[in-house]
Amino acid sequence: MKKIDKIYKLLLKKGYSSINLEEKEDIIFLSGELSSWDEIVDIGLMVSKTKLYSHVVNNIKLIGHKPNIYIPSINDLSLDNKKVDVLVIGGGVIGASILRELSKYNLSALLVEKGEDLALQASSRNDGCIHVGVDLHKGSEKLKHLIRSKEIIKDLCKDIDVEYHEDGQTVCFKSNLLRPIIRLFFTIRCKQNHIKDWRLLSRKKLLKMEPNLSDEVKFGVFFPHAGSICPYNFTIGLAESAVINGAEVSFNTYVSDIVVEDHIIKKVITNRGTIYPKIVVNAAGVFSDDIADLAGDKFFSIHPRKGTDVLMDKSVRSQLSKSGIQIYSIKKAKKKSHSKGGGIIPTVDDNTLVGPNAIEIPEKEDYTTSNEIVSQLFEKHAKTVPNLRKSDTITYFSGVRAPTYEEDFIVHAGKWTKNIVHAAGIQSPGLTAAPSIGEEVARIVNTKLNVGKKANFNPIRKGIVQTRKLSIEERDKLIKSNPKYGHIICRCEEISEGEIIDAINSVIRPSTLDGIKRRVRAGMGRCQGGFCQPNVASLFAKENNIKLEDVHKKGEDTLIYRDSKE
Amino acid sequence: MENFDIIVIGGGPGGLAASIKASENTKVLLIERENKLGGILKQCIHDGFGVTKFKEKLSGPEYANREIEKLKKTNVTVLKNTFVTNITSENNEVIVTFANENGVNKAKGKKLILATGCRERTSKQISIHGTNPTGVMTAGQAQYYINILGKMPCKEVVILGSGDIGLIMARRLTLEGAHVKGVYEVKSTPSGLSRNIAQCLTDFNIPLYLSHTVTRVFGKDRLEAIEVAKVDNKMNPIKGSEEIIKCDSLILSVGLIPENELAKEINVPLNRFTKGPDVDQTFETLVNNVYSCGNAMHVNDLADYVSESGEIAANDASKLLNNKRDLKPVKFDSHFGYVVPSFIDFHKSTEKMTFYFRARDEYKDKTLLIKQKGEVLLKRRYSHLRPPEMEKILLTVKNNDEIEFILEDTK
Amino acid sequence: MKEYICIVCPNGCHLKYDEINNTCEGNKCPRGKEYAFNEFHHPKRSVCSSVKTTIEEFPVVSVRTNGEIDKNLIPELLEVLKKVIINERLEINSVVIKNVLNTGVDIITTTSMI
Repeated sequence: MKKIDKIYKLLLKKGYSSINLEEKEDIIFLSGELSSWDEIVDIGLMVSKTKLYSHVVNNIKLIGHKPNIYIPSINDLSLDNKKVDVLVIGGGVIGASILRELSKYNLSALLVEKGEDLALQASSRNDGCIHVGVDLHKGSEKLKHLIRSKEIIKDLCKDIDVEYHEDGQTVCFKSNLLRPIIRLFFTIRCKQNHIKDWRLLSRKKLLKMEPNLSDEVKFGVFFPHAGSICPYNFTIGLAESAVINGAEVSFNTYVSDIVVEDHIIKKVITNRGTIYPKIVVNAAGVFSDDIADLAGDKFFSIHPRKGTDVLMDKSVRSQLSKSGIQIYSIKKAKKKSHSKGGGIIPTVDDNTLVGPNAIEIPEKEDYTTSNEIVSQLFEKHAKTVPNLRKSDTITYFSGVRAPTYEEDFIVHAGKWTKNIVHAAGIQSPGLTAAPSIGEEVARIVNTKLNVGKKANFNPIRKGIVQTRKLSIEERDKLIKSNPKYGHIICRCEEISEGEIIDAINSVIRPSTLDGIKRRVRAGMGRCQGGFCQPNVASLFAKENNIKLEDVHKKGEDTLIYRDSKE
Repeated sequence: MENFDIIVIGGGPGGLAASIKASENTKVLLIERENKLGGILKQCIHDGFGVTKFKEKLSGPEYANREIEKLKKTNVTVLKNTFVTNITSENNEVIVTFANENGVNKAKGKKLILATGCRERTSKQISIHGTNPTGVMTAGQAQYYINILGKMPCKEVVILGSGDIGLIMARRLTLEGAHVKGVYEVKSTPSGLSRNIAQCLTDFNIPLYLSHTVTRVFGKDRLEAIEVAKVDNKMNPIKGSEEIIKCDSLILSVGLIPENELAKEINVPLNRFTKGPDVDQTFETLVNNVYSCGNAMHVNDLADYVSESGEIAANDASKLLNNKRDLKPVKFDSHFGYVVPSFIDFHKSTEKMTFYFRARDEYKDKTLLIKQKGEVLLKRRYSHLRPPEMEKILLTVKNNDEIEFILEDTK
Repeated sequence: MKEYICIVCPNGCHLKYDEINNTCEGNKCPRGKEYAFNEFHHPKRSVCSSVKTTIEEFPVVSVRTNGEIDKNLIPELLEVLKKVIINERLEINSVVIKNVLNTGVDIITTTSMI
């Protein structure tokens, strides 16, 4: 029986007679209409699991669903007729890492991002975990890039002055019966996944490390080399390093079309003019299948998977966890191997994140939260750490992951289109894997352009000083050199005027107050900017020489002031 | 490092009153993080302040100004634009590390008075869900924009919470030309003072919807609309009662939280009812030599009481005593939201001690009984008790033992 | 018949005032009736607001009436305040407008600009 007939039979058996199938080389295309998104996703996953094809393109439409995509309203010609060697689409951590690696080569690179800043989507809406990769499968792209990244990420963070903490991570188990199996499983898995250091800990030993665990936890596995990073600072640091080395970044730039002739991209149409790149890099996250489609190279599909995280107050960190805590339950693992159980994860700034969950959704930019989900997160994780209290919440947010139906990264050149490189299907551990993905994409680009590396690449990028983390002597000295570092504007996060001014005037300048918040945390604390926002707005207006009335909180249509008292 | 008798942190009404009082016979340092003294009073330009303290109806800035003028006549050392980064407390002295434009410095004090005020609950602390647009702000934030900066952050407004700041802002926004579509309150009774309901809402025909809450907000960048719903008696939204209201701003007046981050640094135990420190009758916390006052101790409804508590704390602190403490708890029954102080120190004077309390619910015709070992020390009738309205009593206790506050139906 | 919440004292009595017979229900004391009578016949309010300045440190400065004015004059008063611009640093409680709208009441600043 032909491959396609097998798939047809499989779908028929499940009652899906109206789905159209088409194949092209090792890719299967599904189309049709259904009224349930869960069913559409299930069909994609089911077809993928047969492993008869290397990728599934799931074009089945959800009846009545109209995608709601943010498109910047600006229209100008600031990039018109621009010729670049490489155009990177997408300003997330992947795009930024690729841009930095590209800036090591003798080529011109431009990154375009439709939002007003870097790291607006999945790259700021995640838990900042640097994973050890114990859950990754042998032979996967995920594992390959994770192993390589773990070798280089610490030095990279040092070079670009981004904080990296290695507090470790603990996976907790609720039944002692599992212990022998877990020991065996982890022995094999850790060897296979290059995890040198791990420890199986009895409840007693575990409690010495994590005294807040509930009675339900019977033993655990500790990975000392798991870490955390601030994902948006990391993204900004990578992109700034690239810009220091000659790369360019353009915000509010939306790719509306890609003109392809004879499997070669000729030009890329944006709201800011037509760009002529030699090579296009697709790092468009949840939209990477749409970009591939525009480029005539759609051989995979993204199915958006939403997750919600809760950010807890700094003051309760010691009551929650020292390392990241993940809970492992057999039931969950059997049902869906791709969605992590989530955990209780300390951040580099001493907050704690609780979550995330995982829900399949049709909308790629649905960042809404709901009381129901947040309550579920508390209910679930309070079983592991009973001190978890809703009243210590600072904020909550949702992000949307960008998995393919194969649930693995795609980091390679186009299938049919010759001058595109995809970095697509990036989900956890995408943040950890970003440095390696950047290297690989740049390598692929160089095999096409054959330009070689620059002699004068400068790996060092200086971040913004964090006065609150300095010693008294260092801080005193800094203030004496510039008194603005002694004037605290954001009282919750202890951020000085000097730091805020540094953020406003940084290499890649923020265009909104949230941009400042991502760079120096002003407004990130428990009052959520209630006290400092007016002062930060005034500094922003002054440094940029604009009127207060023109200061935006985040994107378009977010002016802080509706009206002045004329 | 300079030595002081008393270090006061916070230059709002509590800290001002404490500094003035303490300066009568001790050397005082007052630390304020903003560039002006007065705390939140600076932006409270409505009147109604000072009726008890000055026997006059003043606006917030005027009330603050009177205290600042008094302070100028003292020899208190005032550090403005100064942020406390660390406090340590040991061996009957307190060391405060602070940063300002001159650098990082330390000061040593025999006593510490924390007058750090309170902050507003944010939208995320009361589970507002949906999108995360610009235009959702606290009442205090809106008040700062309008009264200090002269900028309007909103045009079509819904206010959630009928706390006093929310009511005051409903009037203020209306006077400035905004359209306040309504005030929604999750409880079945208003959270603010009755006179504010009358003066701020009724006067301007602003509707008040009790037993309602905001269940969702809409709009990617700018707030476009909110969904409100009726709630049942457990405050859970009732399905089917949802209604969408278009607006560009949602202003929250949903409660204040005493700010005690510094107190936590030196392990001052907090009270779960007030969210402020546990204190004795002089407002000394359970950490010796560390006092609390004003809204950091418990949220007051009148600035006059804030000043009073600062004076009480300073009065005891400036005696510079180091007696051992003999603490007995102050208990209360389930009719009370809280009683302050939560302890009596029987090594200090127990004459005419000031107690503040709030009822947990709205009550009519109740009798307050303060008992010690079954003996009634004080009995007072109240025709009305409402949670938003704090009550004050003076009490003298002779015997060294715990006391209990009881509310009974008036017979 | 008109309903009011009495604001004379914290009791907050819910008043029902009958203007034809000049009678009041719901008041626990005579002050309630007096309040209701005044509220019906000539309600008065003190008003607090802000006016613009040209001093950089004070985009606006807070002001209030130093007595009560007729409630129905409030909109007109606000129009008057909108047009005021202060060009110098004033002491607290400086008179900005004397005898505003012929009410006999002055507009005074309530923040010290010194």
